[in-house]
Amino acid sequence: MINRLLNILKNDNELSDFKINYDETKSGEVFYVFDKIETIRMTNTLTVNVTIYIAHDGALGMKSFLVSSAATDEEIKQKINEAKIVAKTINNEKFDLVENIKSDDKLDFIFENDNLLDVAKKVGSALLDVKTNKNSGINALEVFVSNITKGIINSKGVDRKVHTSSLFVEAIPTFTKDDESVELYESLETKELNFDKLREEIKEKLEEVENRYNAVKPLKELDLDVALRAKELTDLFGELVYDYHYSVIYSHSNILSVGDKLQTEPKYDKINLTLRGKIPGVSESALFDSDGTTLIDTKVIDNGVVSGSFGPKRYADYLKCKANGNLSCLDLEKGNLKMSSYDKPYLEVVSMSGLQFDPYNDYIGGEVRLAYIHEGKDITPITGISISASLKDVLNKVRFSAEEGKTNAYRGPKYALFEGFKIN
Amino acid sequence: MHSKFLESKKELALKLVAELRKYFKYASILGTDVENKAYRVNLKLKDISDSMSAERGFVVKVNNGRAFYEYSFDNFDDVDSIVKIMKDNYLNPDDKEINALDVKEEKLVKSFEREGDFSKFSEKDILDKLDNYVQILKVKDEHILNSSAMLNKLEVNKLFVSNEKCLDQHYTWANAYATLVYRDGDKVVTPREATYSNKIGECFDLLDTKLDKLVDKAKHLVKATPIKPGVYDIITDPSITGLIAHEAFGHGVEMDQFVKDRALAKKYVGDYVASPITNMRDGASSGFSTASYFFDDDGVLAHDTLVIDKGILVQGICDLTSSRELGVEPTGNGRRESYKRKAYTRMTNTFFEAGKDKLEDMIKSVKHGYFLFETNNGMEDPKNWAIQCTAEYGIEIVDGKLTENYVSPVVMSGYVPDLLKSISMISDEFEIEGAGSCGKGYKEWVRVSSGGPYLKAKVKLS
Repeated sequence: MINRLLNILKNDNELSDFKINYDETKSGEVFYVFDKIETIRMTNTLTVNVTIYIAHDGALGMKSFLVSSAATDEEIKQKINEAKIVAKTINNEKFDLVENIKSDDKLDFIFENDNLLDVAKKVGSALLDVKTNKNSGINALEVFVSNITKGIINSKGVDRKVHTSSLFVEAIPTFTKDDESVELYESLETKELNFDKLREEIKEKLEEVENRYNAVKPLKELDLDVALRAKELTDLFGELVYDYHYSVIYSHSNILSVGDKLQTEPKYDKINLTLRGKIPGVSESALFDSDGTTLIDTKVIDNGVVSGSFGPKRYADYLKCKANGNLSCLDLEKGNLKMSSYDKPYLEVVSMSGLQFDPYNDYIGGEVRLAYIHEGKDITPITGISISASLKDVLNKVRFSAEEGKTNAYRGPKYALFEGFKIN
Repeated sequence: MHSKFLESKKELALKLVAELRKYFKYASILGTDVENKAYRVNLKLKDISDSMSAERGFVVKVNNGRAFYEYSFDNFDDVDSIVKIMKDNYLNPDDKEINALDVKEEKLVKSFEREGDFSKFSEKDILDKLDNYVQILKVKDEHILNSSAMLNKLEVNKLFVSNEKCLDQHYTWANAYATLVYRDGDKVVTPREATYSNKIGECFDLLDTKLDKLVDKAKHLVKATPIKPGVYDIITDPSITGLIAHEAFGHGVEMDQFVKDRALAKKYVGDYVASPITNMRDGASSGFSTASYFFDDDGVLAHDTLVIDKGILVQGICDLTSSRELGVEPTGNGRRESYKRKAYTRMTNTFFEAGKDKLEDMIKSVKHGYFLFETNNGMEDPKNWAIQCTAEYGIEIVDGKLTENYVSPVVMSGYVPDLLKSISMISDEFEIEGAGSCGKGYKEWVRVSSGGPYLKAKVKLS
């Protein structure tokens, strides 16, 4: 189908340029209710997105559209003709497409020769076998095992594809006792199939959900430093760095620019953050973006100062910057704080409803489903609180752990300890 | 049928189901052909693209009294290859599976149609109109760095064939937005106004009336301060009312969560869970909005489900698979993000019914509290019946009067029954917002609407 589409586009003389992005996914999926299979699924799908470009009147018109893999040649030509009419009414600033790169790579293609349903069932069985005590269990489990081929072809000699695999697990660990029940939400996305690591992760969650059952709402207001884990740090720094994306800068929506201080008066650690194309084991890793730009690692925060920006070719051309691509992996420099031996009282946030983040209003916060008060060797689980703070303030008062954590888009400190949060 | 693609596959779909019936007690196929275009204009760019929620493909679903098996694919030209895949990969008899009751259907062959006005607007018409908004907005205030306008155009075609049914539907929905990037000093805000209808013309007519309000909102938001955390009396605008209905209650009564013992609400069917002046509904035919369809992705006809009746929880909403595990009737709430994903119990149009109070009386009754506006996002916790919802902003009320003090953002959290039982006034005005989307956990995104009247309640804000 791609070849048919390519042929049609190449032979259309009205087009100045074109780009095809495609994603071919095969998956095996298993859905459990308690320890029983409720549904199994297989998918075999191809998604194709075409962008056409027409230079006219000193500007560049463009239009993107999806093409079904079932489309006939006539349907494809009709879509292109409709797109051309529209493109001629659009007058965007000109930019150049990525040129002359061909590649065909594998990136963590770990399920290349596997029956995906079998792998999904094995993962499901392994995780459902994890037991901590008779009151804990997994009420719902979903396992998605996929092989994905992502590619981009354009009229300027780019033809790149990457074959990769992905394992995604969603689990609901639950603790039930005396007719009362609590749960937590857990999701894992990885490009590694490490059963021991997966079991360990689930075991930890089953222990945490027991702690949620035993957690109480604190009777008095707390005044403690707050430690966020890798998951929340992924959300926080992922949102922060979006401000440095070329498209945001181009539209004048950015709050900070290169050279501005993210940390105006850092009391403890300075923030050093690099955006990378790939990090081992991190599922957002990629080799190139949707334009075909090879991803170039870029340090965006250097000792608390915004030091770089990033983005795709189009906006790079507009801003006359180097195209380093749509980078997704956050690599945050660790600190020296050994949380395992930290002896001052603090609050460790274990599970939130969702970290709320509003850089325009200088706000960070959210509802906490489970947290631990650490006081020396004593750990007290609490629930029913929320945290809130001035984002600028807490970024000035952060200490990073020496321990490392990883998520689907992050490698860095397993914990970050902040001063300045209000706990209600 | 509007979709020539689905029309061309209808006979093959009938043949496929008939062939699958030789091996499975229940077989169905859903075909989708959905167009979803996004038009964006700002001071520097114009863009039209297909949203990634556009789709065209099929999902086959079979069952033999145990687990369900599905296969999603883009296209098919013969029946035998699909039948072979289903037979070869069907469940291993050694697998531990649920027991599912037989799927019972009534015979129905029907086409459903809801007309819009998409054909009256060319691409150029839409871009010109959006550009007009952008140009009008940019000169309204010197602090405006950028203005943008968007239209999202959805056109849905679906075909469903099963043991007893052959259904197809076609309908449209549009959302229009205007947003600003507004800077005053070192503070930047990005307020928006949205409109929605099955007709593009209506979206634009409504948006015409909201431009001044957008600029005024920006002027206030740029001076907004954080709220002092505490428990307050609140008045909610219809979007926040809807957010409460959706997050606090809607997710809690999705019956696929009952199956997994994930919903505390399961224990409270028949009990008071809200103030006795409260009624809540959900259904694709309960109201007219973005989630108004004729049949769900399992071919179950749209319902109008009364969830809370005078404060009493009467029933939940249910997809087909869960209904076969629970032994209840499905309610037309089985929805897929796309043909590539499983169907779950999902909300549609979820809202509290209107009451009898006047909004001005409700504001006058608040000694100190906040009037909350505009859904930002929310997160469900059906097991523990907790809620976390974020409003874009609030206006402080002091001694029964609105002040000039804006706070932003505002996070509401707490225990759902406490919040719902604290509802003391419900306005006679009512609105459903048709511009939302909802995830299950953090995935499986579907379009939803929510809304209702203005409510007075008490809740923790931070």
